[in-house]
Amino acid sequence: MPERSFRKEVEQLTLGHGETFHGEGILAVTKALLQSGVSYVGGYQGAPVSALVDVLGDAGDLLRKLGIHLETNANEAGAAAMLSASVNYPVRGAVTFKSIVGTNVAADALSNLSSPGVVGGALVIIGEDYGEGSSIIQERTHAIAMKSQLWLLDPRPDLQLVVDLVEKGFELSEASNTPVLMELRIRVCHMTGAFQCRDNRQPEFNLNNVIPEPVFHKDRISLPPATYVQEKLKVDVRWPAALKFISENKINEVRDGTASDIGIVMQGGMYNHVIAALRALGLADTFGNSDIPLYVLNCVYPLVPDEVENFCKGKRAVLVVEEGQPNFIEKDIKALLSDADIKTRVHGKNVLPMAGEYVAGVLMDGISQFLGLAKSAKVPAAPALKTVKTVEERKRVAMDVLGEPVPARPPGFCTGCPERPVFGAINLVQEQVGKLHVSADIGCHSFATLEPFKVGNTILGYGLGLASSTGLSSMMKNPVVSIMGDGGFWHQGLTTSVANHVYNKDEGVLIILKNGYSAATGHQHIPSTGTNSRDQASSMDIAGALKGIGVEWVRQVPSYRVGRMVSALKDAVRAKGKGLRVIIADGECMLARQRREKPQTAQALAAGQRVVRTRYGVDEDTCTGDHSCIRLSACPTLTIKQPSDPLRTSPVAHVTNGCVGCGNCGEVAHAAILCPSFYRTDIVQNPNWFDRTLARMRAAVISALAPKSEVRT
Amino acid sequence: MSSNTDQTGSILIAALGGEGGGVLANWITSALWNAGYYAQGTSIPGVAQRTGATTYYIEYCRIPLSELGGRRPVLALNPVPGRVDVMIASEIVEAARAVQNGMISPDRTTMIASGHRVYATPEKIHMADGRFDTEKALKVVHDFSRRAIVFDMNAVAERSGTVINSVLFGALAGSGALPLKPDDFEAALKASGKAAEANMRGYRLGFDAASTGLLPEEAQTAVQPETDSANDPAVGSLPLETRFIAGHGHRRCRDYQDDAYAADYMESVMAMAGLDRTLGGADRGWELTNETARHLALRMTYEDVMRVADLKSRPGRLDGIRAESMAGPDTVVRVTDHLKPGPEELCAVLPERLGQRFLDHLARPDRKDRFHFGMRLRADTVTGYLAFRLLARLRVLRRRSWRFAQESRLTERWLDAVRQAAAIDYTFGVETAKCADLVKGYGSTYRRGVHNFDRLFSGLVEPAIARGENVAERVKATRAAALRDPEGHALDDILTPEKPVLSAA
Repeated sequence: MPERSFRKEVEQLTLGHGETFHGEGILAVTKALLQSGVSYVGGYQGAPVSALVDVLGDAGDLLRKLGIHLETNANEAGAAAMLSASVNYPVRGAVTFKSIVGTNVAADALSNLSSPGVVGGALVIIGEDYGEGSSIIQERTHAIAMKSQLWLLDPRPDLQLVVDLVEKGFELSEASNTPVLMELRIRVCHMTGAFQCRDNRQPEFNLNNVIPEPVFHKDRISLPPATYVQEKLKVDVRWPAALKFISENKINEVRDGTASDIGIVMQGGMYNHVIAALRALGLADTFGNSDIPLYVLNCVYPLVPDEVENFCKGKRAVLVVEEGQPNFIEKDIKALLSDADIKTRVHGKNVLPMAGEYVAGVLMDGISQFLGLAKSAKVPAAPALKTVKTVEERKRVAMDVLGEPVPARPPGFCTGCPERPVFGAINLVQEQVGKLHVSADIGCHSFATLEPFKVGNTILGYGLGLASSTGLSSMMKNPVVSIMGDGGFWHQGLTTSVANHVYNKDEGVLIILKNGYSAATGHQHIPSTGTNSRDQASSMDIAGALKGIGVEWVRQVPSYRVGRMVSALKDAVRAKGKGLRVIIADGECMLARQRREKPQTAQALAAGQRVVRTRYGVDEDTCTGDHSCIRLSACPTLTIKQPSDPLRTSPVAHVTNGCVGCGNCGEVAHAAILCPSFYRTDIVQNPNWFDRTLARMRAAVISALAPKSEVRT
Repeated sequence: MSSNTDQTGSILIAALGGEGGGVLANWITSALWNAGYYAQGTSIPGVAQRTGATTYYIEYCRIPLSELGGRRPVLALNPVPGRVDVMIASEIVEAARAVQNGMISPDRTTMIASGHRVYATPEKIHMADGRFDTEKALKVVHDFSRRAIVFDMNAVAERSGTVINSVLFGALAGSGALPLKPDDFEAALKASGKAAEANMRGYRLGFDAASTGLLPEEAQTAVQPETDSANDPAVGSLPLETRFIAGHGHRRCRDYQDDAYAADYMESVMAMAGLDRTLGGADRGWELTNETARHLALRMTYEDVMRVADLKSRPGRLDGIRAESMAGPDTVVRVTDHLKPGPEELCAVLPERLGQRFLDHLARPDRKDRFHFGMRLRADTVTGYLAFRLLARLRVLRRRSWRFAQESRLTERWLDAVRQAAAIDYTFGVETAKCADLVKGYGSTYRRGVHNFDRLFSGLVEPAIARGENVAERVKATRAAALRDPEGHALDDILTPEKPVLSAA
């Protein structure tokens, strides 16, 4: 069961013509796919697009009725490869994944897809995870579109437009025989809004009306000599066809403004940000009416030369608002204008930062600088520059009062996370065997590289933790310890990392964190969850897979048993000459476990059944305020508080009531021989007669034994 | 186009991942929609929200849907600096973060924030006190907003058995900052279904506080009870401003061992007060006496196994635990203590010479970490209680023990240095007194503390005393460095600035 249930949203997926859909951006895209008559949908989870497949997973009845095939792919390469269905057959298909990382994994398939091209519309919904809140390296998908000649849509953040553009995207794909990418930034995917629906369309070929005959077409195979023909077709036929379609269907939008001597060209996704900045500078209103003319590129690749020239002609200067780098669009526009002999000055990265998200403050600054340089006869720069200065001045004064920046609060392990004790154990082992080089991986466990664990020297990609250790595996005094989540294991870790390590007879230690889900992305099921996304049982087991490919040294250790983890890891580090040593740290994701158990517990309590709640605590009187325990745990519920003892000035450790009783803090304090302050409390709710009597007797005896005379406070 | 045509309203919510800020954002957007306003919310969920700081942003059009006609507002997905109308923060430093980022403006922002703290990792992992100054956060929050509604909403939520969201939502409704009626807010809350009753409780408390300006009972902190230590006859002859700390110290020592031990403590404090008087302590608020009295009491009541066992078997402890864990009246509470005594703990009981021989035996590297007994004692059972009391009774062996001798030597060395440093310069004396804070904790933490203390004293304090030089500032900086990282890198850097460059291993 994924983190979010979409049962309510599923109802909206059935809405018909003229009805209003209320919801998030990514759900609007999902509905748009159904309205476009897709035959198949696939994807690999990752913020911000996980919800697309999750919601369809909850919509089994609807998909069956429409005859749509839904696949949860092994990874992004698998998802992109699935689009090959559209190479030979007039069936529409869409897949989704996070970018840039997912697109990188998919790149092989995308190249082999774009070369022969498609006859059925093929759309890739890209979650462009760039800027604030991103969990990945900062690169643009734009470059991928350019190198493979895949058309790239970047819709203006308006749900109606996004939905319309999904449908247009399929048409564009078919008109130009080219797969189309649609990039959606994080905030657009989670943006709420409304749009007018159209009826869902049953695809011509579907699960209930199958394709009659396989098609063989030698020119659609990615193998020379066909590939030479395909490249020519791309530039000679498919590209012009795309330009014609984009231009005729007015995919890009021009908004006139009174200051006709200047203009702003922007990626569609930047539109609302630009309007917000213009509004703050007093240059636009609530409805997007702007003093400065705007050219909104809902398709950012390819550019339509005629449109660009027409917009820029006669203007003193234009500003290109293009988030991320390199600034492909700005350079393209400069080249286009130069070829057309148009003298308009093009500004962009000279007034806007080369790197980083274009939030409103950044755009306000850049636009006012642009106004200063452009010297429009209609829009003076001074008021805009003054507004920006006021904001800066206010920030400066605030910082003077604060004295230092407020503490950073990066993400970390959740309360009760089963990965926390494993990294605590790694740090304890390092105290005994010396420093370890840790080859980290992608997943929640990447947080271990942050304070306070600081475990993990490199991260090279999903499922690549072990693969990225091989260069060093024979060059370190201690063996390299690699980390991998079970998500990464099934994504590509099993083959790329483990199998090849065994094949090369490399030395090393691998810790597989088996929490049962692709947890970071919202608890999508993976082969070792036990069931697939349709809740059909799967008997795929990590230990079995390891054995099957010849790993001999495998230990399975419950995640919360820090002491056992420490000794298993020590054994693994010391087992030199034994090839790959794998420890499977077994502990279900606590968020998932709580979500499952909480309602059951509440039900049991309400029914009067005996339920034991466990939590941990710290004795304030014996805590000396050194916080070693926090440095080894960093649990959100293990925090600090002002001591009530007036002699102590340092805050003491304290466990809040958010504690879920995983026991890590006590285990760590025990294994690290930290201090005697931790205690475990078992609260027996709805106690039975025996519990109550025993407790009463114990209390009576203890109270009788308690010293009466001594002065105690 | 002038800015008065801007009919956009904006709400920024700052929360910590997992607190349910998204639920709050949904309540607000649906309240706006249902009341007939075009509203749009967005957020950055995904892995980025797991426990970290996160924000949710809502914009709406002040012109009702009924008057919009065919026009469609263009709403932002990111807050615009200085243009946030309502700022909601579930924690006070998160509110200050929004001020720091320039989002808040004194001419338009209504600030609704909980005044409680949830400490960030860098604050928590500090080896002494790394807490951000809450007063400063409160000051910017008030200075930079048009109106600030700040109280401990977490306490209100906890005591009324609900979540902080509902209190914040109620405070928003009560603030009148949005063009909605209370009914609109309440309808949104009810429509969300789950835990509607508890949510409504929190909502009401937040609403009343914001609309009346009166703090809910649940947000008020308890008045501290009077402690009689200032009237303790033992401290009668000390300067008034030192009696509070010295009184507490005296009681602590008596509680730790006996009257004679407490008298020893008081004697040392009296002597220090005498010195303080001659050094002009009256003009400095008796800082030397106070700091010495504070740390001496903690030094003399070091946490050995007897002390820990004693504290863990105090009457009232189980009641305290019961209250802290919010165990209801009809529950049975069981408490298991995690203990793992090691060589230090045994040496706290063994006589000095025996203890030394034992430690010498353990000095070999392969035996170092061997000698530890893992114990899990049930404090609520009769046997567990008796075990603790038996350990506590071993107090009679304390003053002849190896550990006592060791601690006394350390304390004497420290006290000596404090006296001599103070004679050179008052501040030097105070800074030296504060160095006692380095030695604390158990096991390896304790050993590290003693090691750092020794490095600081033999490397800086004692040579300076021998030279008659005032190094107060350096002592302060070095002490801070010793508390910066457990590995001692910062201390290395400050004590031996010219470190050899690490060769590539």
